[in-house]
Amino acid sequence: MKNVGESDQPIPLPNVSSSVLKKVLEYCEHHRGEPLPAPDADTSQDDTRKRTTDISEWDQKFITVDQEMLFEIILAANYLDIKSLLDVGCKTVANMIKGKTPEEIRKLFNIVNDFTPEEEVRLLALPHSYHQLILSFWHHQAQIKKENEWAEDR
Amino acid sequence: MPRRSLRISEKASTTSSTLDPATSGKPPAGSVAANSSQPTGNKKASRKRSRAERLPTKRRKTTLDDLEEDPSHEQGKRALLEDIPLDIVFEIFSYLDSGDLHTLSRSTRDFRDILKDKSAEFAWRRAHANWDKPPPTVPEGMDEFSYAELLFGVHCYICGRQGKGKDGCESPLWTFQMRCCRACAHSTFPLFHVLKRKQPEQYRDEDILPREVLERQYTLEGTIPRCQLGNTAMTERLKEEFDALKTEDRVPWIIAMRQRRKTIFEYAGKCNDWYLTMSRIRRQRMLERRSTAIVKNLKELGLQEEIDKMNRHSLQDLVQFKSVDHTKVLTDQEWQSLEPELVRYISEYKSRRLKLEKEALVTQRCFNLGKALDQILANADHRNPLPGHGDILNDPSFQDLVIDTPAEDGTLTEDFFKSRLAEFLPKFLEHWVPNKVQEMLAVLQKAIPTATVSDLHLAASTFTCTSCCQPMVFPEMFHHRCCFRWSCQKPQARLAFYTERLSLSPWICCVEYSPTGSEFIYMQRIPLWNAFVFFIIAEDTDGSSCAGQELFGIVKTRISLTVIAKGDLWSMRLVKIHKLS
Repeated sequence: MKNVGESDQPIPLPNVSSSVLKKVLEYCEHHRGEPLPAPDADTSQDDTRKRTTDISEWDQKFITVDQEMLFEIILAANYLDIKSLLDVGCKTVANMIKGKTPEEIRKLFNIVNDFTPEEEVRLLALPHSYHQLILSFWHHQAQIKKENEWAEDR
Repeated sequence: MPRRSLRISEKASTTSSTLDPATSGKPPAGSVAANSSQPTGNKKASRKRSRAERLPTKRRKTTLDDLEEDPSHEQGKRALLEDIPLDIVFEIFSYLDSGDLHTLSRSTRDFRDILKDKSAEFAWRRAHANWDKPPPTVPEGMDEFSYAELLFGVHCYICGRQGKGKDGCESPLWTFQMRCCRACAHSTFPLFHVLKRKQPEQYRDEDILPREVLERQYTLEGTIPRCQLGNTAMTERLKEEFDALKTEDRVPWIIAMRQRRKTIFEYAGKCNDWYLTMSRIRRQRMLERRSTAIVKNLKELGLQEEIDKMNRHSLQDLVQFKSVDHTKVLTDQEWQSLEPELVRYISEYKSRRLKLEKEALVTQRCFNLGKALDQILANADHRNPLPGHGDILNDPSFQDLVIDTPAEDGTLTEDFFKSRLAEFLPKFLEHWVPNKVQEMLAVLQKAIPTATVSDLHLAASTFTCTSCCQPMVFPEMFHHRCCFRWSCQKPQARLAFYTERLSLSPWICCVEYSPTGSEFIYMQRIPLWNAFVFFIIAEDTDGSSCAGQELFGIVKTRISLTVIAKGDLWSMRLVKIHKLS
């Protein structure tokens, strides 16, 4: 608590519940003495290096919690500015998403499919420019078909 | 650096409220998400956050079934988009590849809106970099979201159909920067040579017109020929550009356009290469996931033990079962239709496996019995007939022992058989040896009716195998392999399979008297470990009698034979040596 300085006063943490704080402390206790990661070393938006989702064995075991707790830990890590814990949380969520289908992702995060059938198929698949492109083609269809038939006859 | 700044600002605000409760009043209420929506100095993050709040993710009411399916998945108070600040959501995105991001964008409107936004382009770029081999950079004039749709989408841009097949849109039309099925391509785009003919003469043969090739396709109905398609809109645009040029500018324009088309073709080639590689990897990944799901379901049906025992090839056969080999996620409905077939496949596999295991077990026991018998018979008197493995296995007590002893019983070792044979053999030989001697005498008596048992041991009493015509003397035929062929005699049914496979039939006489081969030394390998038995028949100098049996014995090596021959007191004539290995 560098910014707070030494103080006998209790420091309220209104955004962190006791159970989550216990987990956070467990993490900090285990990683006590480890060097801090370089500040924002690889968080630049333009950083295009490959990022792995490898998590150490202990961290993996530590973060094996239900989704509710996982999100709480991520929020707490963000709030308390514990970058390494935040990274572990983010990697875990990323691993949960990886390789899943849209339906599985909905199930994972308990959300409903709010796309209309039309949106799911066409609007998503049809970028705006091509939509126009195809519309412009549409009225030429009969002529093109006729020409193709003529070419095949030849 | 939205995440960092947001975090620090939150921390700063909390710290200040902590230090000065009087000025701050109540402590910051609500979640961090609420804080993040407050002005933080980071406009981009705030904008994103407000969008997410404007379009809150709809949450499905958790049913009892859901809870049973995944007990760890509680009805959460927290949700990824509702409660996690958007900068952290983007931090999570930074660990995903662009294929996963595209999948996310297809899961809900909120994810789509976030990822379709111009401000998310950095996330796409970072996600492309997470591939082992990143895709080519986004083409000019295309946004990242459309590019991702082109790379990872599955729907035809025109008819909306998805998937492979005759009309499937497996590979995008890179030059046209779109994806469509074959049927739509044919109905939308004119044939290239038809379109080309309509273009101005000045450039129509100058390789500047865009075109796409639909490769030849083989279907059940027949072969669909390869064809080249042109793009009317792109071609029209070129024509407009050309018409707008002054005459002197047209030649440089044509050269520039030719170069541009070359570049586009090269880029399309790179995209296609990457696409094919990625498709292969994704297909493999999907197959693995499907296999895992199938195996998991089968294990839940109590077939875990059987699956664990499956070898690699059988497991591969299982997961690539004709109805299983799809690169789609296994649905409940599909599983219901697959289940009976797969269960039947596994039960058939199990019966095959048990049969093979039983065969291997019995074979091993027969092998142990054979080794024990060989060791005992190595010290026996070889001037008498000796039983083969099949003769012992033909005994019902040994058959029952070998076949019926449970697999878990590991007592049927070589030593066990040795002790059993030590008890069994003396009694067995008591009646077996005289019987076989009588059989041989009967063969001899067919030619010499007055012959007696002692005549069997004479050098002149030679026999020939009726199967392989090999000459032999008594008791050489008791080591002759033709006499143990399963075809000579049907062994008892219980061990028929093994005796046939291992050539362990009981001895059967398949020799006849043959007076022609009277003088020879004959060597045959018999099934004794590292030993040869030499049957040496020698005539006396007068040629009337034979004392060959005196030399009878087991010698370990060929050198031993030489020693015996040198030390021989009789004049021996080496007529023939048979080596059977």
